[in-house]
Amino acid sequence: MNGDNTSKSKVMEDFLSISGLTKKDLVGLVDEATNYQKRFRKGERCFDELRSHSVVSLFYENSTRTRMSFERATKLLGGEFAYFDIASSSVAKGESLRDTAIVLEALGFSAVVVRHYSEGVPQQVARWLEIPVLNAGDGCHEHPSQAVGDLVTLAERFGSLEALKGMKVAFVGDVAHSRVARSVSLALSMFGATSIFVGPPEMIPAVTSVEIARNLDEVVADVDIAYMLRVQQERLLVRETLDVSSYIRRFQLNDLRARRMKKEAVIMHPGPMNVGVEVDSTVSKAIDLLAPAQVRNGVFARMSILSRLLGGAQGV
Amino acid sequence: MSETWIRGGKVLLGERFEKRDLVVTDTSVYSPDKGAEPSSSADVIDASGLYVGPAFVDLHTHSRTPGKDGSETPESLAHAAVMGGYCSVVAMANTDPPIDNVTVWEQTKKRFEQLPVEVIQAASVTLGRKGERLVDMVSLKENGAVFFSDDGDVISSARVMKRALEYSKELNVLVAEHAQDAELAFGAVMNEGEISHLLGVQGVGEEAETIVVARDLELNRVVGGNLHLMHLSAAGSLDLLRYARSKGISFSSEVTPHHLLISDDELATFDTNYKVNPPLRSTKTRNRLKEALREGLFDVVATDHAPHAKHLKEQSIKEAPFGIIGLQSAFTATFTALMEDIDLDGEKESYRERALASIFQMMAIHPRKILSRFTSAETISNSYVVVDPGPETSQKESDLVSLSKNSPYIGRNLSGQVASLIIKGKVLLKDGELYKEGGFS
Repeated sequence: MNGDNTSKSKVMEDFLSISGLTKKDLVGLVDEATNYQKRFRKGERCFDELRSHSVVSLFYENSTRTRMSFERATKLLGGEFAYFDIASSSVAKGESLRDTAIVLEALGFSAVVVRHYSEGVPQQVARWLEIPVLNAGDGCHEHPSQAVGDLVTLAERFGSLEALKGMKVAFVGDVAHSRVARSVSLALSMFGATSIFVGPPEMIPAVTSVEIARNLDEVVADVDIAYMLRVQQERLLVRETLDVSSYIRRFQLNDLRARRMKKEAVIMHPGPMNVGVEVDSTVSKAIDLLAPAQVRNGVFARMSILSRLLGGAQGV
Repeated sequence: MSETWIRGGKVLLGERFEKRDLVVTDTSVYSPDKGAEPSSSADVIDASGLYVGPAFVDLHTHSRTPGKDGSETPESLAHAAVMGGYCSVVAMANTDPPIDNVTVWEQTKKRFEQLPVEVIQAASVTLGRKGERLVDMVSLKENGAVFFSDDGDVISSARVMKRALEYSKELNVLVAEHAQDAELAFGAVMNEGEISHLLGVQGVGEEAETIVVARDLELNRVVGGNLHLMHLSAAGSLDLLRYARSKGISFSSEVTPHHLLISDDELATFDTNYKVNPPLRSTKTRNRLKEALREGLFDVVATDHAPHAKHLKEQSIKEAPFGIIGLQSAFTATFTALMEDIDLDGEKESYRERALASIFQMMAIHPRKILSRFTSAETISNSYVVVDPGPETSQKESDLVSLSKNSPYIGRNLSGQVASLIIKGKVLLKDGELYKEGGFS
């Protein structure tokens, strides 16, 4: 399924990045997730694609939502879920990343879900291990399972994935450091949507392939989806030159700007929100309405991904 | 007395090759008279179809001695040098402790004395390599140090750099700069560009190098000291070098084999063996560097051989240290780079000879010339290397003799091979393998 990993000789593959997937892969994953969603709504709670499988999370970075979501997805599919948490870098202990990863495989887990503060760690781990590796967020690179979940939400909202064709999507805020923006933007582009990156120079990568706006007012009335990113004040205030009040003036999605949006436009946020910075309280309430669906769909997306990787395979 | 006959090879004379035999002893080198035969004690190397020139000299090696012998030992370093065709390497000062005083410099130098290759130990420019206060360059020079560098770090202060250049002039020593603005490079892992944006990885642009190159050249225009610009990797630096040359500003410059052969798109797999500083650049810049090499803008090709133990490179791309090994593969990598986009059927042969001649200039003759301005080193005369441009071989980790295996070429096909190495008349390498243990026994 994933092109990042040609040298690996195993039946099952990995889930590492949206950039390594095809449109067909994504359609398959979203369809399957939608299928789980429907069955769940009908009251089904027992799926057994992961029976006799045990999935382990290897998280080098704190996370509540993503890990819980992977855990919930695994358990709904009848699998076991274990944690291998590392509060600090293993460099301090003199153990290499590879040593740690190899231990997990030796312990007999069927798959490992990796989150790391550095870009590329899931790719590295996937090269070292035979078992499937899932990327639960790597540095500022990608957060592909979140993107699949968001596609499920958007397909539901707009009726189908095909409806995304021709849509304009504004990613507002710290695009350069957002793995969510990178994954969601790549995923949406596969369905014919166009991204616009909106933010100050500190937050926008100097790419030439994407339209850039320096003020939300310029684009707010034209977009079909406004994807608001969390402003990581602690990150920006230390080294950069950003003034928060000026940021709010130019880029906050507030009630006034939201009213200028198309009627059917959607506002999304990966959460948790910084109310009063990237959005005001009125807009945050609109986002709150969609948030539970986004979280639920995240679980169905992860069920779909896990069953694609492990379903049908013999567990250990 | 050691005596080696190199027979049937094409020998570099000036900038061209001529077929002739060569006799190399520990004190001399000459072409034998017609009909003369080697004595029974002499070694004979069959160089038919191969190319012969002065053994290579590397101005940029990280020995890891003292303090980091988990990554390289003097013996493994020398072994890699011999396999790469080197008779002499300059060892950088970014060790633990750094080489910033006479005592450490002398102790470290001793550690290399029994090796079959010569290691010229550099000293740092500033105390503790902190970029603040100059080392005692006077005493170091009195004791024999001629190569000064804070390599691994830039000398951030223009004031300190200017002073260092003034001393380089007064003492007749070389100051080598790692030209990269530290502020712009802070936190960066790779080259800044389309690839770094796709990967979400923090990058550093080429301007971090060019602004320091511009500063140092301007300082040396005023001072007239001995400035060496290390591992240049930015297209903008090339224009600055051309300008400086046209104005008669004194400097020497180097480029590494890896900046000539590989680009930043290799990082797309997050393989830490491609993490190096200065970073691998775009293919566009890489092609500019190759053009500049052909134009003669660089004085030397130097390896920046930077061994790191496996457990250090098996960290995340953020945490893994910068650096790749290069001594053993320098000739093949450079030759492959120079031959890479040449597909002129009829002229390939003559182009190949020109490429080989220019590699000998960059890797043997110019580095000697630079060093000979400051030192009367002995070993580097009467040493010859025989190279085979023929074979294209897939690089295997198991063939690497450096203690560390952080090579970006593993699994890649490279052209050419270092066949034999003779140092002061003694054969160390023959047909690609150590000869009589290569002097390591």
